[in-house]
Amino acid sequence: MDCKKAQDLILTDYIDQEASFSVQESVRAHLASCEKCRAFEQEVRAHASEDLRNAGHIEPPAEVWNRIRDAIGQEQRPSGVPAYVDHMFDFLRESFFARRPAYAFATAFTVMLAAIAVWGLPMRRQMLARDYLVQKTSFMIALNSPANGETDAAADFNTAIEEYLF
Amino acid sequence: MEDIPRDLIEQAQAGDIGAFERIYKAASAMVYSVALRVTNSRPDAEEVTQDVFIKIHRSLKDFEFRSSFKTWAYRITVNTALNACRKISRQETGRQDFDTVIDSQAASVDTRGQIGHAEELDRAKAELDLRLARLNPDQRACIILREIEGLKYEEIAKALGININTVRSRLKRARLAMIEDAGSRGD
Repeated sequence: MDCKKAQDLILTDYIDQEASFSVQESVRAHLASCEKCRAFEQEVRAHASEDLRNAGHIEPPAEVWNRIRDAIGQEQRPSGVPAYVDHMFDFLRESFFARRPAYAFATAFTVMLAAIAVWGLPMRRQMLARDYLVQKTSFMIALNSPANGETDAAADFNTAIEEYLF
Repeated sequence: MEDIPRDLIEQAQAGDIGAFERIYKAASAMVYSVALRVTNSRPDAEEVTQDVFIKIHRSLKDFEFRSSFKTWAYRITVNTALNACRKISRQETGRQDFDTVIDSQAASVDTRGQIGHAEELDRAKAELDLRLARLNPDQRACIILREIEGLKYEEIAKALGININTVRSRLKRARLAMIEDAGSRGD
């Protein structure tokens, strides 16, 4: 085993006892014969491993539990709003504020598409109805127009279609 | 952190707030300590602790004992703390580069009055927190779970939702950075 491989293992699997028995033995054999790697191992243990192990746990202030209990109490209060609505709002809030730009963009895009679908369809229908009325009006005006070669005298419903329409 | 007994979780799942309080008492020191060391800020750690237990309470009814409660709690804690940490970095540093972010976080140990008060932590612990603050949040979370919480690589991978080789890589970089930091301080 060369020094680079030994030091890689010292930084991870060897020092954390995650390596297999045979790998641990190989590293130990290398350390027995390499002063530089022995010094490196001591340095890792002193500054990046064993010195952290006595850090221990710290209790949170008592008021944290009080705030949690109050929040849970508020959530359990019957509000008349179904739980899935709350979950949907939680999802949207987390999508926008949980530091995930890709999700936020996707959510914003979906919301925009939904808005277009909801508001765009009635507008399209209105436009079709307006076009239809404009066409009909133009047709009626054109029928009565002198430019069609008709005179007032000629507007005497001489044809069958005129009699039918007017 | 000891794993929580199944019957206690089942009582809490049934809506027993007393059982949930016992879960809180068993797990809150772990949650708060991890949050404090990842965010490096007491108010943020309190907020993370609050968020974690509210999330646990909301999701408890869906917990099906497929993984241990301990792994599940670590996962929620670390992800919530990392999200808070990223939010703090964005709010405090704007467009500053990464080195400046790390320096400001390290400085905050003493200047923001959160960690480092002599009455709460001794000098050695404050120095440790200062050294942890110099790591990036992902590396910091890995080394905290390994060295302070004593998790195995597989448990760290599950808690962080990453590949086991990524755990190795982050631990290696974190330790190299800590050795370099110790060397630059003349330890």
